[in-house]
Amino acid sequence: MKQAGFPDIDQPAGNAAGLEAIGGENAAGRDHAADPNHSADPNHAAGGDVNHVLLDLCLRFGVMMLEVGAETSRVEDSINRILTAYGYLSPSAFAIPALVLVTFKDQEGQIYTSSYRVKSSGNNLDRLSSLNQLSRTLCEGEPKSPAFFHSELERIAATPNHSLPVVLAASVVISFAFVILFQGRPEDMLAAGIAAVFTRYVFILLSRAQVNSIFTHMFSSFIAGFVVELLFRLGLGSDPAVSTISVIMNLVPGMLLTNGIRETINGDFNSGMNKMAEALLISVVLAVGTGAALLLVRR
Amino acid sequence: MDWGIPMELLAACLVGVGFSVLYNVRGKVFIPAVAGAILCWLVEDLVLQYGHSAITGAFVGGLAIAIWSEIFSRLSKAPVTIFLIIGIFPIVPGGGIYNTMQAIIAGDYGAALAKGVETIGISLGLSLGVLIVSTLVRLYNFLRGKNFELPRRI
Repeated sequence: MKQAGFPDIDQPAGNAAGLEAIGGENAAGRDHAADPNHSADPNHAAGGDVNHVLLDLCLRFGVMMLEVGAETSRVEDSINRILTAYGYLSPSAFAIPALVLVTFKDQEGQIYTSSYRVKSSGNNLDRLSSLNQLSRTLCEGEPKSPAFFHSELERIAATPNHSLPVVLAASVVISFAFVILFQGRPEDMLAAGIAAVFTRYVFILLSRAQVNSIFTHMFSSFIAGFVVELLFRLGLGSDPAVSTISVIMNLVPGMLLTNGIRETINGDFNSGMNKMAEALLISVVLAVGTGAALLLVRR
Repeated sequence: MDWGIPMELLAACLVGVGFSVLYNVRGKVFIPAVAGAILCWLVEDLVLQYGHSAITGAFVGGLAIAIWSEIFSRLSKAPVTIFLIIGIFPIVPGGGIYNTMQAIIAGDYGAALAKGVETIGISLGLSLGVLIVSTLVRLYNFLRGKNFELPRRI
């Protein structure tokens, strides 16, 4: 398992694939620098079609934002602000968890529109923060050059993620902490820590394989319950319930719940219900997974 | 086993740190995000200590973390969600999910229903707390005329 360039922890493979697909035009443009058809590359568009370049950059910006876990209203709002700052008329961005759609008019009334189907959502809040900052920068003062916009997007897309050992260590720390909060004993901590490593590792593997999030959470929670119960049978731990819950807390869909609430407040019921339903389903399958492990080991 | 308040505060802090790593929170927002997790847990625990229900605890905890998030989002010019997401983890009802499942497996459907309703209640209480604060903030922004208006020309 290669650790370099370790992508997002939550559903990572799709994230990288999505950005590549969007950036594909750019990559091709750089490889064949003489090809004028690749309007997405701002270096070749200085005198040419800056509108198409900005359309593509805004779309890419929106997709990146959506994929790191922004609310859809934030995506729409940021794109609209950026396009307004560049002086476009009636900018209209639309985002749902599965799609970003950007439309605007130039000064002559020519309509530009483009959309991208988003397949995954991750949870890189550092990138979300950087993208938010970029949108502020672009909207302040004089309009920035598309080349600046492009290079900033590239820089943000290239920011490093935590390596696998760090992520596993974080999972162990979280399970330790919850054993304390749930009033477990030190030996429960040990059991939870061991189970957390296995659970997180399986979760990362399944996320990378782009198995759907429901199955990923179900199987990971099954592993959590299974390892804890097994260790309990071998004599480690005093209360398997506390250890299992502490490991399961790693997988609880806190982000989906938070974003679901915020989408609903913003009036984006489509996205809100989408996320809330996923959060609810994940909660249910977390119970199903541990339940299956319990039935398997205890009978 | 009772670990005592200092250990539990440390645990809430570690929860914040752990999820900050999992969710890639770093830089200037890291410390307020972790502090939010501690605050959220502390408020919820205090409400429980005074003999209120878990649902009330989650509601007040949600209010506290939402206010905290709005304040630090303004101060650090970062999205509110960062602080909210990290902050609510200590009181997300993971235990309720497990206990409901355990009761179902034991065939005790009465207890399962009670636990399940309580779990949903905690989630809703938490959501309601966040919802109220966010709505008030939107209203406040509207009254100050700070909401972004698109140039209306089609």
